[in-house]
Amino acid sequence: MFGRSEAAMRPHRRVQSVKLVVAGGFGVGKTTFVSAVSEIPPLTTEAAMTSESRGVDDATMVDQKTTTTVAMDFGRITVDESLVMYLFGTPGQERFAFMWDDLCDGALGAVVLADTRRLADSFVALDYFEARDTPFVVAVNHFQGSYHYPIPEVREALGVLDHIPVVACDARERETVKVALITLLQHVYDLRRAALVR
Amino acid sequence: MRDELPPRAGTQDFVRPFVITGGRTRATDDSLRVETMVQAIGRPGADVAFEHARIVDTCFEPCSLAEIAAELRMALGVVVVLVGDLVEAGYLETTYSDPVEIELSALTRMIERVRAL
Repeated sequence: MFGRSEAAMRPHRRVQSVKLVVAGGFGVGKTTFVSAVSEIPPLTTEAAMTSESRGVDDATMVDQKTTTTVAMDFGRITVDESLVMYLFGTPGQERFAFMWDDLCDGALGAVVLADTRRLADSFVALDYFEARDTPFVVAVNHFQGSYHYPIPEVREALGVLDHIPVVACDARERETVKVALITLLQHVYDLRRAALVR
Repeated sequence: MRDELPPRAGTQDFVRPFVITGGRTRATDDSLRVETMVQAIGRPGADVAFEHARIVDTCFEPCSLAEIAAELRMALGVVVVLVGDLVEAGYLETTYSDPVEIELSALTRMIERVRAL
């Protein structure tokens, strides 16, 4: 569509990028979680709906109005000059679940944020990552004033398998979000190492 | 939903996002993802369309497709198509990291980095 560039401006610097996904129900605190550890204030991208959205509008959009864009928030953690991590919040409402494939393809792992007041809201995300074999951990977001259920009880209520880590966190507290992220990265590490040994 | 969109610079009315791609919603290169790193390696000439040139200007330093979209307030799907054009024309170089190829040592570096935050 246009000619090749005349001269190379600069050499290509290879920077590896890794994508982690933060999933969970609407309003569970995904953007707060991302902003707790991101080195930049979370940015928003709008994903324009394309052909994948066909049928979704008819089936679930209450007023048949065509929605053209969905907002996704993301943050960034620079590991070193050759490696960058991106944290993407999934669009929370279930009617945007068709977008998850594009977002989750190529993800290293996922954090499923759960709210004990609305545990069922995280089932969609749990089912999704289990079915895709994407490594994930569950972070139970403890909101102020919400009753803190013991983690084993939450694990049982969510029905997650024994080898899936479940941790408590407060999305507003950087230290607890760090623990959740490290738990995910360690989980991915352990799975990889086990696969190598086998 | 449409009513809630923030106003875009220079536009009063709603513009269909894929107008600037000529209606194309898929890039010629289907390996482009939100986290794919992009870097400018060539300087666009006068024959390069305005929206394409803005993208090249944005990724002088390596950055992801998502960051380009956020910076230029363009829909992600549009950025994917335009970046595909620019890679084909030799203005941009991409680095896509397959998660399967991420080494254990890289995971260790990530864990150390998060711990140090």
